[in-house]
Amino acid sequence: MSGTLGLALRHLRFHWGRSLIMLACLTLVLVLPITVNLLLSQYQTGLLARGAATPLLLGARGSRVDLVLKSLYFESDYSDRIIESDANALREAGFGRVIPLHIRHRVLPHTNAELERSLKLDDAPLVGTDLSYFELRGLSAAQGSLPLFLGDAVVGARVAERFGLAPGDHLVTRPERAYDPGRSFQLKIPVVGVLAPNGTTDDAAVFADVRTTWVVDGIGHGHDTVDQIRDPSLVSRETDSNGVLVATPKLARLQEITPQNRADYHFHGDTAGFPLTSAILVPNSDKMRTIAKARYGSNETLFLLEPSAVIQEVMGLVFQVKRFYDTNLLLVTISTALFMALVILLSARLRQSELETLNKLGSPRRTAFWLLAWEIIVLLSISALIASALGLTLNWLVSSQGISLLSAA
Amino acid sequence: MDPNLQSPRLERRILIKMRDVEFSYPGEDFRLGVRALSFAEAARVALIGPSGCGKTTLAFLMAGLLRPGAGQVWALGQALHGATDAELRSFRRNRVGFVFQQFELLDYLSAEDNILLSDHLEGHVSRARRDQARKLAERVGVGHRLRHRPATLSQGERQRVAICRALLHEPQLLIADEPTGNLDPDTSELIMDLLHEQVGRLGCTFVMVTHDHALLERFDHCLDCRALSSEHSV
Repeated sequence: MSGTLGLALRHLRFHWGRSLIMLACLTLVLVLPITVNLLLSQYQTGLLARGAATPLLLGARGSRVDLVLKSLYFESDYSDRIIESDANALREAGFGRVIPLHIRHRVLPHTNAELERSLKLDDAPLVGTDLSYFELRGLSAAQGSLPLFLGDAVVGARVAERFGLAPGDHLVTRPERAYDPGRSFQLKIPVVGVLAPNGTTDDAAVFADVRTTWVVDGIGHGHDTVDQIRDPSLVSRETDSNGVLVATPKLARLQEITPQNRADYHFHGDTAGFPLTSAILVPNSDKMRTIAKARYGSNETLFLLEPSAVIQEVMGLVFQVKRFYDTNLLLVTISTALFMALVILLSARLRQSELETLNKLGSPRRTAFWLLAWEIIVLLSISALIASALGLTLNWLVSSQGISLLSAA
Repeated sequence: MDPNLQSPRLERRILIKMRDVEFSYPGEDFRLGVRALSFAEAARVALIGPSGCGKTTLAFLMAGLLRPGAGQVWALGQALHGATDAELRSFRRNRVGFVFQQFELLDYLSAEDNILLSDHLEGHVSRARRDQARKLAERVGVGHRLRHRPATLSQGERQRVAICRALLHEPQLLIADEPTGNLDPDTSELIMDLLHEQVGRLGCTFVMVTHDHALLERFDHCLDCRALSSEHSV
């Protein structure tokens, strides 16, 4: 390559050590803002889109942000619950379609359950809902079917990939209190379907009927007959006062809802009092939306929130913090630019004899300027490329590793 | 260049002409005065004299590296005293070959790229020019060192590369400022042989600044810079 660019490239290559140091300095300064901006942009798009895709959310009064983020992203259980009758009240008022959400439990693949239990390895949230949820989010089964029966589950695409699950495999709920003898038994859940990926948090969750999650809560249960069991260690030699054979605790390590025992599963008490994390309301019309919001506006125990508005508030806070960060970054950039200017000035001084030679040989006056300018341009361009590549890679890593807040709706 | 500055009376065979030239460096006592001086085409002139008498300054005035404070300098038909900075640069780049005492090679370029430096600065190095550079390097005995950088060349090889750079454009005027000042006697002789051979081949005017009286016998004229106040015609 000829011209001042060619000479600048040769100079950079010849002084490769100095060039690498300058490249590293510039890259480090550039990589942070590029990465943060990419992540924030993705974060904002994802949050706003998922918020907009969730018209209204009913939940117990408490933290608005907490309720919305936990209901939309299944991160952990929201401590304040509503009950089924709260959702029923919305339904009965005719405001629109009501979709229950029960987000409390987590599941592991059954094959590794023993190992996972001891090592506390990866798990996925179990979301109790109904079929309307799949319609709302545009989710369909890529393999198998949606969970139509009590005890069935469908897994998100990323969960299926992470755990190597397919229809016919099993999941097991993560035990909450390992040493509590009064705890509910873990539920072994068959996978009946795998959802097609939609690039959202739904890919990283497991869905079951809300009644299934109530069974995991211990509210519902079934009864197995133990009198046909051959293993003597599973059956107590004692019988109860009615002369009924009693099983040892060893028998029921896991409960499983099968087609054979499904009819035996039942709930004690009125389901209207059963817990939910929240409920999504898809209003029939704008009028219904307005009326519903007005009615719940003054409710002392319940929120009826617009998730998109809450997320806008969150983003406002995030961008306020970002402004401080940007100010700090500006100072770092100015100091780096001054440092670069110093390096260039010193470099120009060191290269004085070279520039004088070029002058003697009759190079145009602009040659010296362009020799130095091209070096800066080349270094800045390479740094920007490396920083962008690093930023995109980090962005991709964060997304692919399933930080659900960053997923788009 | 202003056409009025062209000399209609410039004799065809006179390549360099100076009249009533005065030059001084700002803030220094040094003052160079040239009453009348003319060098003919293909002349070989040695500029001699003690240090500080103005040999290099005179050479730089002829090469368009300095502009006189007063008087007129004509070189290769061009009025250097009235030329713009860009015109002087173009003059140096295209019409004059200059060999420096310190070689002045760029350490990050190969010998070949140093020879082709002017073309690099123009933004284009043609294949023909590259071939020409290689042939010239072969001729002066550094053809096998073209890929090497100056730091890996001997002093003599560096000066040969510098000579190739000065001669590549086949200049009508070759100026050498103490080209053997940093060389041992044997290498000096080799370099002088080479310079005279190439000057003879190209038929250009050759002006050399030197302290070394042993080198003078091969020049047509020796001009003592202490005597510039009188008229000189070479």
